[in-house]
Amino acid sequence: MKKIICYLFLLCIAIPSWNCKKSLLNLTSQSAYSYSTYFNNSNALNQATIATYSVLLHQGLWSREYYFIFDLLGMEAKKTTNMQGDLAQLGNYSFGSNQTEIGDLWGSLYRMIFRANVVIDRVNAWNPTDPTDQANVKQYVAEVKFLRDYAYFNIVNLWGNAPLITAYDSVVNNNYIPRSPAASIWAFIESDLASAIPNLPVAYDAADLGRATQGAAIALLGKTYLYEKKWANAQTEFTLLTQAPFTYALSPVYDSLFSPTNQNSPEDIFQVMNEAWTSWSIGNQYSMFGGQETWGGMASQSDRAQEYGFNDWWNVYITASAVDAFHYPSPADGVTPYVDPRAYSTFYGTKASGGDTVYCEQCTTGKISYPFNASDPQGDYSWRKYEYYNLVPSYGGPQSGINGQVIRYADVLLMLAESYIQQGNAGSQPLGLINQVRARAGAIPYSNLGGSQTSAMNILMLERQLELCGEQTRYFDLIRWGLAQQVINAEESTEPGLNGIQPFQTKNLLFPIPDIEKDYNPNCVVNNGWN
Amino acid sequence: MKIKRFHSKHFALMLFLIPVFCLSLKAQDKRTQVTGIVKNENGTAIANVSVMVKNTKTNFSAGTTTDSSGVFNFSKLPPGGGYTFTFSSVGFETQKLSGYTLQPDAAFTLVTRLRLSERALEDVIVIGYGTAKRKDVVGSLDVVPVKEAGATSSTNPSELLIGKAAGVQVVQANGVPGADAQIIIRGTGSFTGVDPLYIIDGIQADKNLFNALSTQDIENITILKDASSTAIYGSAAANGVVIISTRKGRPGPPRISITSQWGEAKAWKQLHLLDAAQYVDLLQDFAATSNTTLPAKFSTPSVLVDSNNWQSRIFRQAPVLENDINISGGSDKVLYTFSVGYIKQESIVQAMTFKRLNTRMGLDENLGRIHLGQSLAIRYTNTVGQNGSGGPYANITDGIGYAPYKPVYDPSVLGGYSIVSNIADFSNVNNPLQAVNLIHNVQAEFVVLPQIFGEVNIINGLKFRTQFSAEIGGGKNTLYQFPYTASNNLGEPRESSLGYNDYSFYTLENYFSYNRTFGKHNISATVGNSYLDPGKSSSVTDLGTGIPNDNIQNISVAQTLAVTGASYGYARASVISYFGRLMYAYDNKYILSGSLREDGASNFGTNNQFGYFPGVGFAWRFIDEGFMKRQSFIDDGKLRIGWGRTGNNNIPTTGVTSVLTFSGNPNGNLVYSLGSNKTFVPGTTIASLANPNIKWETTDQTDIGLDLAFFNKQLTVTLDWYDRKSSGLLVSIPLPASVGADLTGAQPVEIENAADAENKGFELSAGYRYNIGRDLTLNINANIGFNKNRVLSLGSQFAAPIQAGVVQNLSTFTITKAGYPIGSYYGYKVDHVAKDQAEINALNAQAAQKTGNPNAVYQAGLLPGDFIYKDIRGIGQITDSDETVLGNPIPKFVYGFSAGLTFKNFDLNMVFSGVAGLKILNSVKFFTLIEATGHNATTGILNRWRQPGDVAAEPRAGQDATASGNLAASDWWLESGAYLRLRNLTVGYTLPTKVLNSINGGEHVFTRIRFYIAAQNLLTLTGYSGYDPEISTQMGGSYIFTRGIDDGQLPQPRTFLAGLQLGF
Repeated sequence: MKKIICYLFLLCIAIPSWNCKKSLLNLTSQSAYSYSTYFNNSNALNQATIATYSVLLHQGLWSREYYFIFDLLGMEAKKTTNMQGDLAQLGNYSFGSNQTEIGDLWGSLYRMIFRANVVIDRVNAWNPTDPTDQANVKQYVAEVKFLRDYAYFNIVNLWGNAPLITAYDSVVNNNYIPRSPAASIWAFIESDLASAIPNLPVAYDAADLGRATQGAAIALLGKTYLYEKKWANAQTEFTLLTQAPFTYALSPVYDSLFSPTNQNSPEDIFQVMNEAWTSWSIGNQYSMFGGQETWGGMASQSDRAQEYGFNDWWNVYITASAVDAFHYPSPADGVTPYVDPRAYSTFYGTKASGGDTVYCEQCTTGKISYPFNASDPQGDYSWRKYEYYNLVPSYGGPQSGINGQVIRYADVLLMLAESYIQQGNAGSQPLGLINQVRARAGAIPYSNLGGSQTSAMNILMLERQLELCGEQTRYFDLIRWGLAQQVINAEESTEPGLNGIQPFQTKNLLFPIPDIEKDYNPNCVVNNGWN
Repeated sequence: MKIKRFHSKHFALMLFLIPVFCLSLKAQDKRTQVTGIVKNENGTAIANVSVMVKNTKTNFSAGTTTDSSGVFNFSKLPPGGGYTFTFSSVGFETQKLSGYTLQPDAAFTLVTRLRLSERALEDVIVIGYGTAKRKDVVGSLDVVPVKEAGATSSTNPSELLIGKAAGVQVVQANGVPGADAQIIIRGTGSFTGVDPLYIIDGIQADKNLFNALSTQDIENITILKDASSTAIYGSAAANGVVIISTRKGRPGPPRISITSQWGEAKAWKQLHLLDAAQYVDLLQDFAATSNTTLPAKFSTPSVLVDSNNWQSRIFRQAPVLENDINISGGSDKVLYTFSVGYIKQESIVQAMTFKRLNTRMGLDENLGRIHLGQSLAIRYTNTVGQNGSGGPYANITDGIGYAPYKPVYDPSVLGGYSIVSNIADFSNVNNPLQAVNLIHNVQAEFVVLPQIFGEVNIINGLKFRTQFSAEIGGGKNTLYQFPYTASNNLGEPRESSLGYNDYSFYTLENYFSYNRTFGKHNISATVGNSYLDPGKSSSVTDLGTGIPNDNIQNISVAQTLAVTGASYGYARASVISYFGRLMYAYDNKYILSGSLREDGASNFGTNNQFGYFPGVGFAWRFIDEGFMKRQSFIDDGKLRIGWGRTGNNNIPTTGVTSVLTFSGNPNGNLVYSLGSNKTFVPGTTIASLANPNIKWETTDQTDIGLDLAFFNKQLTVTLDWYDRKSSGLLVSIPLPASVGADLTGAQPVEIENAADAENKGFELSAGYRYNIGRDLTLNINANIGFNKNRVLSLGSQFAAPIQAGVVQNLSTFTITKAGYPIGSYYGYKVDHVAKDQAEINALNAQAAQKTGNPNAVYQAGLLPGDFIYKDIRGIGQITDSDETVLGNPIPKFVYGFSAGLTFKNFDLNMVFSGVAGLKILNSVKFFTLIEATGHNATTGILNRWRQPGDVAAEPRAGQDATASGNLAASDWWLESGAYLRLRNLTVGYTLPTKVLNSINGGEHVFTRIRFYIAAQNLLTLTGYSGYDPEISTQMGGSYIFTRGIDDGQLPQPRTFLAGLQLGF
């Protein structure tokens, strides 16, 4: 009726009726809800929490770029001629502040923080009275705190001083947040995790598998202390994970940690959930190229198998230096050349290299020899970890459902060993932990850690390199150990195909503040156009 | 300004006896025959002159037109006194002969001469909400009569304007059949759009509707350029106004005209590609510099076979066919017109076909004081072709890059087409014929445009008009994809999709107008209101997979269905407006005009919803001043001065002033997989920040113009100077990524009234018309518009330059910042290709010396064979700061030239248009001259650096495919975008009356038969190395920030046409 009156008024151009004018000019969206009214129930806040998790699959993170960035920078992967685009700049450290993937990583980490802050803002605005709702929102807040602390952990390690945004209102009131000192970011992570831990469950129902657990938050807190060199605190946190109520244990088969069925293992602490791509009717195979949440449909697969796979896009080799690391004197006598059995699970190569030499073991067509090209000047070693060529000869597109291992128990055991060693304990406790990890892979155990803190650290560092090869930890480790420049330049200079360069400069100890921040934030002080 | 061809059949007035039956019955027996001849001042007979006869006593009236010999004939007129004959024809002054008395059964003969009208000064011109005589117009405008010869061969209404009006650039989107064109009036003055406002028959429309019209249905197009005339449209008029008048019925018997044309289109240029041996040599070079070896295949002779030139495999001769029919007629009470047009066109690159059907019906009723009109236009288009990322045709860069040794087919590959892979071929370019043949996509769209109006003469001079129009549109998209394996062994499944969309909205306007002359004073006033309804739009797309086989190729047999897209919302913003205009003329010499409009739009927050848009104009017809009578050099003269303000609300309808939830786009795509079965769990968050303070952007324009005529008004000249300043431009300001309110790969933005920009320009048009002797007429038009575009400011907030235009996944190439034109190109300047290491060492030594740092290098990563960039700051090192503005895609001037000539029964028409003073970005060079990935290239790459000591034009093969080194944004990618193009050349021949009469054999069957041949884009003068310098925007980009980027778009074809026009 009101509409009709309005039309009549328009027809007659009578005395302007402002009320009518207003109603015709007040359009509410027919395709989305209002921020101020939507998030007032547990279900909506759960959705906001899920949206925070989904950032784990965004560009720069775990559906694609995260492993490229840190495998290339950590000298575990090396580009082939197939590698296109900005990723190629990472392997030889020729990137600047406009490097796309580093920019994407920064953007996605802050997007995760923003979405976490949205959940907290809406929970505060709602204040539920029902006890179930209260319990739900407590858990949601704790989960998103874990995620934003994971984001800040990456940020503070990679960039040092950075904007510290802890509430939604902060960005609404000021789009240009200055950088905070790294120390205050570390402090924030510690206190934020500490407040999240009590509100996180030890385990979830089967339907909620993949959400952040109390163990995940404790592991991240332990890792935070370790990176801050607060060894005793780190030891305390990691030790918690070896005790009740936690039931973490090493998965009996090392290979299975990187297979399509790598979840539900007692070794999992926090994984990125990658659902195998099944159908174009659900999601786009190439969703990871920026189609997350838009043209990509519903998809959470990883393209790592496709991108690293020698029979598919084959964008990277495993580096010769990474292959060499698996060859070391036998821990039994310290002299006999020894090939670590994890080489077989990590790469394809020659028999002598220890790598796997056949694939398609479970194909109907039977197994096929890996076509090692001895004349390839770069050394023709290819990744096997996170591949599933045992099942199919090639993938035909990115569709891997192998979950990304963010933190697993073996990593925690080695970090616990490290926190002992760094406190001067090179004895049986760290030895036992290291051997526990080696034993699972069938590697010969060490009888001792060499007697000194230095020798123990050397063993631990090699152990981390081998156990976690291709799991995006080596770069972080080298940086925090203060060895990055020395080790990476040494490896780059001898790596076939890299022309003997030593590209790692002192400035590389931190990432450049990406253009998408420094060019648009007048309060972001950047030195030398880098960091 | 424009000179109308009086003999064009479409302008002919055809009047006929009005069927007043009682009158005709009474006077049946006693009739008088009246014959006559109409000539021009030179004594040449004039065809198609409308002759009306009216008896003031009996109210009897009748009408006819002259034939090609200038002869008219009324066979049976009732005898009696009080007859008046009125002769009218476009371009001539209307002549009235009164006081004739006809004797019964007697023959009566009349001979009259018509004078050329005074440069059409009395022509009525459509302006905003009304009409005005040309001599009273105070603003700067151009009228383009569509039926200038040659225009019939245009297939798109925008083409009619190419080269015809000063300061109006028409950029055709690309050479895809059915693609639209962008009209840019006086430069780019907004960051959200360059679209002018389109008015069709007095009612607000849009570009889509304009392009929906058939060229045959348009009578003329008026372009309002200055703000004193556009301000009455207030909002949305910031980019000028294009007013389209459609063809109306004319009194007389049914008059039928048919135009049929056929032709063939073809690319006018091809690139020279490498043959197989050169290609293999290139790959070997590439592999060597990349520290790798070529696959085994390359040591066999099979790769040296030239199997296919893929470029010539995808380009083709494309037929075009167009048929139009128009039927019109009526009485002085009711007029009707009906037209149907059909066009079928193929793309010049395989394998797209475009079909369009237009119909238009119009009725016009006069009931004394009441005047009513109804029209209905319908357009239906159907496009068949692949729906790929590049377009519905074969990818041109694949055509350049695919391996020449490959055959088209390979039965061992799923789908039957050959493929390559990195592993086997050192290349992953797709077979350019594969997708185009294995994906079958049909897009059907329709638009219905009903318009009605009613007009009442209330009292003398006072009229009320109410008008209503609606736009109802929609489409259907079906796709069937055969299963196939693409290059690099990527699997493409058998699938089918089906999508529908629809939208509708309406516009309602009412206004009073008043026009009265009191002695020497003339007053006209308009006051009214307008409502733009937001309407609705919706869409849904379904994808079907699990189709068992190819026997049935649609979604109905799919075993899995999924909705892949769904939307629902408004078709546009709602706008309520009130407007008024007052014009006062004294003695036809001093004309003053003022207008004011208030617009309220739903886009803006409550406090800023309304904007006010005033305009004032003054014209002085100094030619009528006494002192001008003493000279004879200038025959006409008018000075115009105007100022006005217009606005723009081109931002999303909702979600700008408040924050909305985001659950993926389409909704539901935001998921994370949880649980032991990794079930997708939906997520909802927000991905934007709100700006509740957003308001109208405004454009203030000052215009000073001078209209002059010389040599008996045969030469007319118009000059205009304008200063168009836009402030508070609505713009998406990029925010720092740390804000986090965005989607992956994006950057957070906030829409703000941030920027100011300016366009200053000067326009000159000249027209010359002359009749030489009896048989030769000539008219020539030339125009040129200079424009200087500059961003004045990006706002008081942090004014980061806007960077855009990422090409080939490299870096951004355009920058928009204060002091430079919008969307300028930005990057390094190339000095030359490094000859050898010694040269680099010398530069490094210099760098070390200048910087005092022994380890300093001139340019990071520089190797022999790489581009050495210019050290602009002279500090011995290349850094980001050596990037500079390199040019821009906005032409410094746009010019056009057209000429029409008739000689006896022949007619000739040509239209040239050109642009100059601009740069375009040839991103196809990534394929033609760079080898960063394995692909074929053009012979230009043979000039690459091969070994130390080479002084080469092009860099070495092999480098990371990233925006570094040779692929950094630099002036190497830019080329001059200047061109001069012969748009249209038409030669026609109209059958002479004698021949026509013998064909007719005494009956009145044909009134006109004309044959013509036409060529479009026959000649292009350009230095551009790519396919076509007429580049609109980057594919999927905008005319603002990513203009002039050639990604391998379909070039404008050269088309030859032959046509036949019949009049009945």
